[in-house]
Amino acid sequence: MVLSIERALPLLLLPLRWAPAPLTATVLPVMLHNVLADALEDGELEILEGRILGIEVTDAGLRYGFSLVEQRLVTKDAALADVSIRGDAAAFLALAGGAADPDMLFFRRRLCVEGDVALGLSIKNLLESYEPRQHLPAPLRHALEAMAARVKVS
Amino acid sequence: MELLSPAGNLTALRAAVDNGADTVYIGFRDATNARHFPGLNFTPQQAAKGVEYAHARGARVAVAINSYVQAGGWAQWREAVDGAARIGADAVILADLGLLDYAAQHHPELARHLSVQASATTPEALNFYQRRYGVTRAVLPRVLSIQQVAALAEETDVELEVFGFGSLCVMAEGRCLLSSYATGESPNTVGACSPAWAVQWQETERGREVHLGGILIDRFAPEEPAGYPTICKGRYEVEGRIEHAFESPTSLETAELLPQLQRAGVQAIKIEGRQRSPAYVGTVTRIWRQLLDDLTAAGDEAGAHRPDPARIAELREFCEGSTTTLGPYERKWQ
Repeated sequence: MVLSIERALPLLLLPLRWAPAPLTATVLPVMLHNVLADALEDGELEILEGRILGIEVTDAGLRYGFSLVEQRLVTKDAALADVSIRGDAAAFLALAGGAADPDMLFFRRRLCVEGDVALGLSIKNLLESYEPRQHLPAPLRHALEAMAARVKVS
Repeated sequence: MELLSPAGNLTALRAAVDNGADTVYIGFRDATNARHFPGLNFTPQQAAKGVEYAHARGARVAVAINSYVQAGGWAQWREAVDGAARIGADAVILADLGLLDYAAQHHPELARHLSVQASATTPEALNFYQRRYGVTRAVLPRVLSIQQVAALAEETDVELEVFGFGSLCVMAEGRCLLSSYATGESPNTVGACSPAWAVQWQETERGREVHLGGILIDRFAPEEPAGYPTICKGRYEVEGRIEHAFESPTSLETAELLPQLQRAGVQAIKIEGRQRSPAYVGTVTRIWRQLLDDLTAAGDEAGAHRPDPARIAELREFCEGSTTTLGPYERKWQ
């Protein structure tokens, strides 16, 4: 039996779920700084100054909050988020790999956005404009794009 | 026929050019265009880079400055026209008479296209814009049938551009004030039907609810496809029934009408969606490029040409709502 990417992903993400909070609080911002360096430099991430973005991967049981403090991205309590973006792991993978249109995922009910819609839209547009995956090492980016292309959206 | 693709940022512009758009249309990052959303659109520097990228690959760039100049806003809107000229754009897409006049006087070399927001549908109106402001092309509002488009082409030298694909609006373009009842703003004034600050989505036990300016405008059952949060696509209680009182959220998809549009004398097909992602722009542009190339390859047989159903199916994946329509082009009641 071949496991579909939709079903395999939440399992693959299990280690993250069990990762201790201090570890994710250290590692996640470093990863994000790498892929969002241009946006940080251009000051575009200032929209997160004093605000919290919540990301919830429903089927993997993952929930993170992000904010910008003194030009650094930091993790925060997702329960305090000003805007929350929720979706399944495959939907986030398709987005990260540039294989899906977020509006379509939203229309098809694979993504939800609650809270400050203007902040959510700003972040969506920022990510589309800066394409964080372009900053990944080529083999990693190709793997991500290939996996993302296999996600079934509708 | 020329293919025009939308772009809300540089990444989308590159996707459009790389996938075969003849022209990419963009807007500046302010209220001077009808897709004014947080974080979307181009700074002058980004727009200049976009023009450079497009020109190096034989594509053109048109700048939409298609909202109406607001009281006290002349300097901002004028600056948008000057900015388009400065970055070397090929055309400006305008609706406001003052701006059309300004552009004709100060930037005669910059082609002037009449925006859909000007809502011009008669040869008399188009010929007036041509005579008075040197308008070379008009984007037709989504209200005309193919027969009407063909009749229009007979009576004007102004090139005709029509929407071929994307979200539909209530078809009163340039004259719609619906959202101002809920938000105090409208696409003609601030460049957005539903400004983001006024939109609220809530996932409730009864489904996904959307409020605009505090007014509940729709509730989607679990699994039911959702759409953009505009007043015109909402569901309301009318005489005891809850229904789409204005229009259903359907998408325009006219691939099968391409041969007829070409015969009617349409010069350009426009894809809607500057607010959409580079993934959308790239894929939709690629498919429409193929559809147009297939049509050209069909040559004299174009009348009998049928677009590839596989391509149409792929296009429909990207639509808002669950249904598509040929829009007004095939309406008989006109």
